[in-house]
Amino acid sequence: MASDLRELIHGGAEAKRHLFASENFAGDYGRSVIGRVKRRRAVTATAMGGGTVVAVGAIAVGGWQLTGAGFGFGMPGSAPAVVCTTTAAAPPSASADNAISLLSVPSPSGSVIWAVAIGSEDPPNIVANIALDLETHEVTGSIPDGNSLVLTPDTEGVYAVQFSDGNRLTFAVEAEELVLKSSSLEPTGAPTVTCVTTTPEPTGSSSPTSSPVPSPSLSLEPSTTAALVRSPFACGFEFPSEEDGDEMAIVEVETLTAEEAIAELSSQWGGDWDAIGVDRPTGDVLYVRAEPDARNPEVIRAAGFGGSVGWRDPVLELTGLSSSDGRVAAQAAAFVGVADRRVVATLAVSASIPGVPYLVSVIPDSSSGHSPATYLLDKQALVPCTDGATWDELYAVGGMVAEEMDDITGPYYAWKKVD
Amino acid sequence: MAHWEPILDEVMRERAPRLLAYAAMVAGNDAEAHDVLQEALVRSFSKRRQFAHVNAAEAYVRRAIPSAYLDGLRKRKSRERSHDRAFERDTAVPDIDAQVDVQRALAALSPRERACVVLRYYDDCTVAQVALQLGIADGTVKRYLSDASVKLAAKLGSELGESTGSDAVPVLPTGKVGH
Repeated sequence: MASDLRELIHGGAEAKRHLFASENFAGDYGRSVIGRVKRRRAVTATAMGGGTVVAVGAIAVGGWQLTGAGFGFGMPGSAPAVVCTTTAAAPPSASADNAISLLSVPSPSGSVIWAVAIGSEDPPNIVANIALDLETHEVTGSIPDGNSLVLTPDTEGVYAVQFSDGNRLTFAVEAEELVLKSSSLEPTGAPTVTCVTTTPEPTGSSSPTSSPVPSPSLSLEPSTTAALVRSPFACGFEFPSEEDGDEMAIVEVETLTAEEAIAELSSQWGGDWDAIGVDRPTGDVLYVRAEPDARNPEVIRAAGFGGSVGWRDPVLELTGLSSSDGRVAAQAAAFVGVADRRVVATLAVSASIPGVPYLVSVIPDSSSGHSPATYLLDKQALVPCTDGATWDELYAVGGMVAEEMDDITGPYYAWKKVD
Repeated sequence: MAHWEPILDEVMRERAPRLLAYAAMVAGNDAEAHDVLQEALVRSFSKRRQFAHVNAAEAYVRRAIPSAYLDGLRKRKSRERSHDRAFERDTAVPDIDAQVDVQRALAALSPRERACVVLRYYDDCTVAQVALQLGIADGTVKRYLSDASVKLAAKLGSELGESTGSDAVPVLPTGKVGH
């Protein structure tokens, strides 16, 4: 075997080319590749436009406000950046229109998620999320209060979402892309949708699914739905254990007295509580800090990109971020209410508690590694996922996701039961 | 249909065997080649660039394969499994002994060593070009090539000469490997 390495490599490559010539790469992978390209192009376009996109489970609709958002991590010499989150509802924009837009957002591995937005408000007025499981091809609809339903198409492959206010949305999934068929949605200043139902397509409508077949026979299937909810920040997520994490960890969970919390937070703001912009707590305060896995340099590096820290699922924030170098990250820490290991209450904003500031998210200074921390000033601020839902346990949750050009790191999540 | 879709479709239909072969050489096994090529295709077409012809697109995708492979290494937790499967598959394919030997020898290299060897000896890149493409220093490329040459010689058990290029790194004969 006296041969030149170059010749051997070329010969080997030629042999492999013959081997692969019998395969049908385009047939086997073509749709998947094209779908991924479309989604990344959509994400890039959205990020460039500076819009905020939401995804996964419990989402806020036109009713949240972040003050001090848009900072970078670890600003040298600066005071700790603090995000104060209130529940003040945003009024409908005067420029709002009825246009429906589908926003493709970074999704957990094995799924694709689109956010359905109406109007041209900034942040977008998201009325629903549609998730496609790439393995099972199951389609799930999620609405702002966190309810999720497994959707079933009619005989023509069209899915329908009927909102409680009478509005209706129909769509199809083609080659892993969501294609809007019809919509009667109009922008509003506050969440108006409270559930997703399964009414059949009305005969004679302008929708392509006007056939009288017993169409979308949708039903709430908690067990199936839970399997598709991959974010512990979202209603319906089922914790497989009391503590776990993927490239993330809950490193601190504490219950502080009101005085302790006031002292801690004030000290980070030069002793001036009023500078934080939220009401002083009167009862116990929960504190959580989540941290990317220090053993994984790539995660640590990605977490250091400029971006945002808060309490919402980090995926919700990511595509609203942009930077000159194409690197952005979002981290979050929060609490959720749990019953039977399932998330039944979240910090999702609700019109039922208008204008009450109840939590503070803090980025410690750079010496602390930029990990997000959240103080929940009022445990009563948790919002039930469904009317009347009660919870007997609290879980601390954390998450991070980053994007570098078109390469997504994460999302990674962690959780820990609060003792 | 978007303007990029026909080009992408043509690349996948007509150029996939050649690109898969290249990806398999870079990755060191056939099973991973499909994942690497998919990632390279997505990266190449996701940006706002336009390809005037399928040849230009193929060349771009080809250049994206080494970095797509190396970047994806840390994310592929099942790499060892796929590696094993690849060997099983390779052994079932009738091939010329020497080519099988070199493929196995390449597979035994570290990912970066293998990428350097493929770029250097298959793509005929200079050391500087390899360094530029992989985003590493010239000296690092030379070290990878030198280390690779020792390993390849040990695996292949023969004298493998390098004949072109002032920055060529000879593959050492077995006898010079310190065993």
